[in-house]
Amino acid sequence: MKDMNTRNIINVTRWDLVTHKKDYMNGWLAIAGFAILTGLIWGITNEMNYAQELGKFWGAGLTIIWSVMITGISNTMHTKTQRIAALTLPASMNEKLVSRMLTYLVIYPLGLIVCLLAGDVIQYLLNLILHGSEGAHFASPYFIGYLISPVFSAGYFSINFGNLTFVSTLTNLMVLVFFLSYAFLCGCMWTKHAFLKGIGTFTLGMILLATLMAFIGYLITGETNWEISEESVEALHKTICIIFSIICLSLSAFFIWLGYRKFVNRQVIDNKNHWYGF
Amino acid sequence: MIEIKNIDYQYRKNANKVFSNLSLNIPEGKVCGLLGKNGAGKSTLLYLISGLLTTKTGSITMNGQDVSKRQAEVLSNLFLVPEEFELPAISISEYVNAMAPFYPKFDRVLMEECLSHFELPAEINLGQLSMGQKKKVFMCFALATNVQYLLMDEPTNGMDIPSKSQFRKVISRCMTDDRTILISTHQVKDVELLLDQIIIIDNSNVLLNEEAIRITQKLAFKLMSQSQVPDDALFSMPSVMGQAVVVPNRDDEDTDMDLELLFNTVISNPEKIKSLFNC
Repeated sequence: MKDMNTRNIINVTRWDLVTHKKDYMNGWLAIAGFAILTGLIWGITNEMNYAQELGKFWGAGLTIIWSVMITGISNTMHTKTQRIAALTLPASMNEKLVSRMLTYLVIYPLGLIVCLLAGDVIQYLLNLILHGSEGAHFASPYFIGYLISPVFSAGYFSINFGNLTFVSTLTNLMVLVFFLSYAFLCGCMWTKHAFLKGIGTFTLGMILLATLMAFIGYLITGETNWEISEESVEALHKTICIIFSIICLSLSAFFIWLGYRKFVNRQVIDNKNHWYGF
Repeated sequence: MIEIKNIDYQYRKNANKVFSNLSLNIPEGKVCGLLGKNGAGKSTLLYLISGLLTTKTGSITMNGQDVSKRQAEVLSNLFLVPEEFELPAISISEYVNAMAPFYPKFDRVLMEECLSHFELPAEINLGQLSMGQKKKVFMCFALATNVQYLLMDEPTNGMDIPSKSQFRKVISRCMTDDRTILISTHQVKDVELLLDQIIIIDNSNVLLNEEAIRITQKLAFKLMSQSQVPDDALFSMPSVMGQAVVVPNRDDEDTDMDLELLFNTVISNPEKIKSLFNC
């Protein structure tokens, strides 16, 4: 692409990190502080099981934080003055988007992980000091494992489609892609409280979809004499999974395209007459 | 040159149009004053020129390149000093190190010179400065970028009296033949002596876009008693020293331009001004 220059992406990323360093530092320090605090509380309780629970807590917590962060793609542009600063920066909008994703989805989370590990080491040392050698088991090796596993196994997004391993894995992956692309759309669309707005609109959308499906189901069962047996549903599993995956993938592509349009056409003053640049 | 051709702009579908078929050329190598009433669209025009707002009708080009595409090359050749802005709470050198790479012609020596003209230290945390001081730092950075087009929205707002004269000195010192500075302001007295092109807009019309020297060739700005005000006076208003009057300059008199009087004259007599300047 002719408007993509690595030098510009590096410059925008550096500008973002330097000018918002206080915000990033606060986030990193908060994570480190919270890791130390939870470690110390756990040290007082002195129960081994809590180590695993804490690992799970941090694993899930960081995965959720990472998902929430996708909705923060535009959160450094929520005031007019911030938009002026960002939009007048000499780089193309594509470069700004790539830089933003790099900063917010890679560099910042990496900083969080480093701070979490640092907090983990500090809580371990503090527990050693406070509780002697008995405190050794509070140094948790679980964090990294729990950081990665929920993201890739799509654990909390999983839907039970039976035992069709490949197809259901593919479906799970498509559902994850769908959620992330929806988060991306929300992040591009709203500069303020994008996560909450995203949750709200998603819930509303799901209620409407469920109502529609219930209505269609009612029409089918009410107007026909079809009998939907468990066997027939089982036989349809693979087809349902594939159709569902295609729908998720199509919607994801649409969300990413719409989010991209919104981001690159962002106006300094919100202009309802300039919707998505169309 | 910045060329604005037949642009329409409105913020909302049912709202009044800020611009309707507006065309305007901003010449190179001049300090241009952009004047207009509240709501005339001065800030909107600056935002449109800098690509912060885009419009689907008409075009705005800078050296032939469409500004609405927000290309890095175009953006690195213009700098906007908005009326309100934010500076991060970091040191000046950190700020310069983060921002300067975007501007190939950035001059650190000029930055330090400008800061010293404004009596500001070269190394201070931006978070510790007052709004007026921040504005000076931002202006110094803007001038040091050496961009071809420098756009300023109400640059003297929030500045104390000595700073206003420092501002004029700094601008005159940094002005070069290949640079264009467009200043949008209501504080006409602060920039009166700087401007060599005056642009007055009202109701989507460019009422005046003339060189200051040509304005004083065509119009005379005088002070006289009420009884001396001639019938062909284009505008008059009372002042502490009598009546301030604008008349057609038929005798090639050499008078100093009074921007406030000029503005009121143009707003109250747009047709006469148009015919006088043949535009």
